[in-house]
Amino acid sequence: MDSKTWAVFVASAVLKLSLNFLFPSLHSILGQHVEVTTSMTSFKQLKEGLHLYEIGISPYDGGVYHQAPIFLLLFKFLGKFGSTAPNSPTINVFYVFTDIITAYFLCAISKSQSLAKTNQLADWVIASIYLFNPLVVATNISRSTAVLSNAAMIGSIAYACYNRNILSVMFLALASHTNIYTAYLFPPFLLLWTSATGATMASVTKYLIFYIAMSAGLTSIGYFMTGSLQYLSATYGSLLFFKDLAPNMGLWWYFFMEMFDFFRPLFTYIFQLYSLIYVLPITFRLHNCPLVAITCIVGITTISKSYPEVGDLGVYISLLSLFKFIFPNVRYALLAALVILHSLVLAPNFYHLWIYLGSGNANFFYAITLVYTIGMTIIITDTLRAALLIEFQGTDNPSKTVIQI
Amino acid sequence: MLPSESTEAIVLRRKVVLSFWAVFVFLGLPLWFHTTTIHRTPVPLSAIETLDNELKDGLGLSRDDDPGLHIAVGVKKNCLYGITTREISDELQRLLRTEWTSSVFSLDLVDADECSGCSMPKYTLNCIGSDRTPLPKTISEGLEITVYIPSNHGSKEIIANGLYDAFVGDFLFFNKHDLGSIDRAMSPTTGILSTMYRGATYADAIHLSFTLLIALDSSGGERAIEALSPEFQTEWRVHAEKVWNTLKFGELNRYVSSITFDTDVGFQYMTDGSDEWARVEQDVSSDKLSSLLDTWDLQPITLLTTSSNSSAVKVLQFVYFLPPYSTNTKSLSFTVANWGGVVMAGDSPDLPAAMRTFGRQIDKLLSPVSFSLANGSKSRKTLPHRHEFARIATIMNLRGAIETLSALSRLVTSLQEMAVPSTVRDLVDSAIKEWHSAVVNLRSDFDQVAENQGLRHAAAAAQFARQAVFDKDMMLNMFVPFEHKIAVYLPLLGPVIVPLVAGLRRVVVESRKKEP
Repeated sequence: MDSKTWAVFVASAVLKLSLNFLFPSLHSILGQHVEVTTSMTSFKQLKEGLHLYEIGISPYDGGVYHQAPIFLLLFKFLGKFGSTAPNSPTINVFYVFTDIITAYFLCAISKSQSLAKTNQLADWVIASIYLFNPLVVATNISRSTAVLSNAAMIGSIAYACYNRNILSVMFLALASHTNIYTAYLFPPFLLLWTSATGATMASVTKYLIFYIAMSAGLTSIGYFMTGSLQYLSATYGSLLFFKDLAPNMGLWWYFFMEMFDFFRPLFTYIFQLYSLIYVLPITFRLHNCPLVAITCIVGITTISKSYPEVGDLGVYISLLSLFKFIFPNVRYALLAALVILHSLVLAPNFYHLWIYLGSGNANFFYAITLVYTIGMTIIITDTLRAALLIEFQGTDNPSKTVIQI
Repeated sequence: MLPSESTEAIVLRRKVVLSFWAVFVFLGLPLWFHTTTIHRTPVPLSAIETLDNELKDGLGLSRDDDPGLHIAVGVKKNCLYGITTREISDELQRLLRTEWTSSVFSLDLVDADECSGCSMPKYTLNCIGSDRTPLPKTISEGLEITVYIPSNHGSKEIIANGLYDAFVGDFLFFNKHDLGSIDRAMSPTTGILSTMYRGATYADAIHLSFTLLIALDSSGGERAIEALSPEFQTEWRVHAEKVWNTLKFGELNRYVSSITFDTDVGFQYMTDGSDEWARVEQDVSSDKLSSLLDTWDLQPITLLTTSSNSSAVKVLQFVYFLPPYSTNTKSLSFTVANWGGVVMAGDSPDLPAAMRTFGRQIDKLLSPVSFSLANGSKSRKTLPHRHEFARIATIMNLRGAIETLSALSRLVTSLQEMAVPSTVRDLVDSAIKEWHSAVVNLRSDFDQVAENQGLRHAAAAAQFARQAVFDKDMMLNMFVPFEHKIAVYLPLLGPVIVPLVAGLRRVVVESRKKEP
């Protein structure tokens, strides 16, 4: 890492610590915004779950806590070094450190063998895109646990790029345990893990067994903590079956508010299937560039998951920054940027109009989430098209001309 | 012409299309089938039809002639006091219309003293003037009905009320008409005993609420001061408790699981005492009782819950109203069906007399069961009346249960697309089981019925039947016809199916081109 990159790390740490110091209630304000946190990643609910756990009551009994039990262990451990209040020094430093680690992983990915032959942005630029992204900063300050899931996911990618496959499997299992949609990345990760040795049946089976074993190990931690597997219903069940009907930046909640109970199971399964169905085809199509496949699937799950946040967009943009070579072929960057910008500005306003002022209704906020999704879709399709074009033309000396018909 | 593709590209495209289809076929279709299949648990429709036929045939109970819903009563001269039988008959019909279905039940009144050469009616109405009883009373002995009326106060209302009380209290049961014929009389179109039942509804618990309602006006008054004294209120409670104890340890206790009471004191503010009191008297005399009750500021009554199957609490309110000042020497009283009774104090408050009146009102309200409270003596016909009442209430519950089950049967048969969860089947089975238990009790000996077991089973059967019809999972799925499902599936799956089919078509065409 060069000095500029370290300077970016330090500057982002100073920025976040200053924001927390100068605006002590900022974490609470952001934590209440449905665009930034959801019931699946809320720090406030984590605190409630932690309190219940510490007094000997199962945190999954009340229907308040829906996050992985490993977070309880982590924050209980952090509690030994100081208070676990959202604005305490311990939590401040921990979250700043996590973001810096994530940025470090991103810089490591950009210098890996997987992207060695491509034109890359400078490390400090990649780190800045992540650390100074307002969406990522907001997610960090709101103390959303998505910060930790994203760190595990990017760490897994980084280790896979450096052929540290066992560690990569562990981090992927950890990321899947905390955010089940990360499990969708397993097929493209298999391509990464077997890129050096080739994808034989033996190697695929090995990584599959190891991944399942790691996931089972993490699940058993939850079992021993709570005494039963009932927590799976509160965590994965809530996420997969959309049990907590609350507005967010996704597309699900509006449907389920209006729906007859008869169609509810069908729609739940169809919506979940919609994010799953793209995994294999994208993996097959982009088998030569698994990193692009991973980024594409991350983007698709960002718009199709049940409880999306704006932090997911921040992570997706940071992953896109690793593929500078596709930028010249992207055609609708300005359009997508403006659409996203408009939606991010209007979303909190329309939510405020609806909930607090009562002069709007759910249609206001849902319209903005639709606009947000359209913007994301434009980005995903445009970057995917650009990547396929690069693959067709060749990266260095394009020998074929593509004519749009 | 499009440039040719490499074999590798074609194979890759084939893998992509088939991977989409693999998820769609192996995951999507089974899930779609599983989530949209209508699960219909078989309901024992034939068993319900059998029960219906069994009830129509009289449940195997003994038959008798029609009880005679049109009954002639000879009215003796001493009842008339210058009133014609026509006037009494009109008043009686007015009473019947408020409580009974007069089209199928009527009393034909005949002037007994002027019936020369005609066949005497079966029943005779006799009136005896008495100064000893402050209020009218009716006693029926065999075929003779005697109405005791205060001397010189005979009126068409008093006599008609006496006749009305006699039939509600005695007639239909005195001759012990069998339940089969009574059940025929209880059809939904006539509703005789259903309206009677309304006034004497079976309830597993009875709550009596005694309210001392003190009217206050700007003048204050010694009466209010006396009523507000702790001694008076203690006496009020003691007397109310006596009534409660008489009921609690009396025969009513054999019918219900709990009898509770509470006492309360309320105030009715009258800004202009004399005018408002005049309006009160006018309301009472012109029978505008509901409007009068609405103006009273009665304390809310806390309903009690019971653990019985029927879980119904019958609440009766009894109000002793102390007007701001005395306007006449006698007190007024009236009952309101399904609500309770009111006694308005006369010259001076007389709690014992008021409680005796409340006792008579309870008799009337809980009729046709006669629980004698007025003078503490046992009622002459309490045993058969209680028995008959319980049996009739049992049949009414069975009728309700079978009507509800038949409605469920028609609903399940006509709406083939309505889901029938297993809970509905369980509830129907429970209703049929309770039904059979109730019928066994009806056919069994006297003691079992007197213990209300048949009635409890029948009430449980009715409740299970109601729960089955209004099962939440079944009712929620009633309003999704097939056309609506098409309207939902098409926009949801159409945009997905079109590219899938196009991709598959291309794969098939390419593979056919490769075949020699």
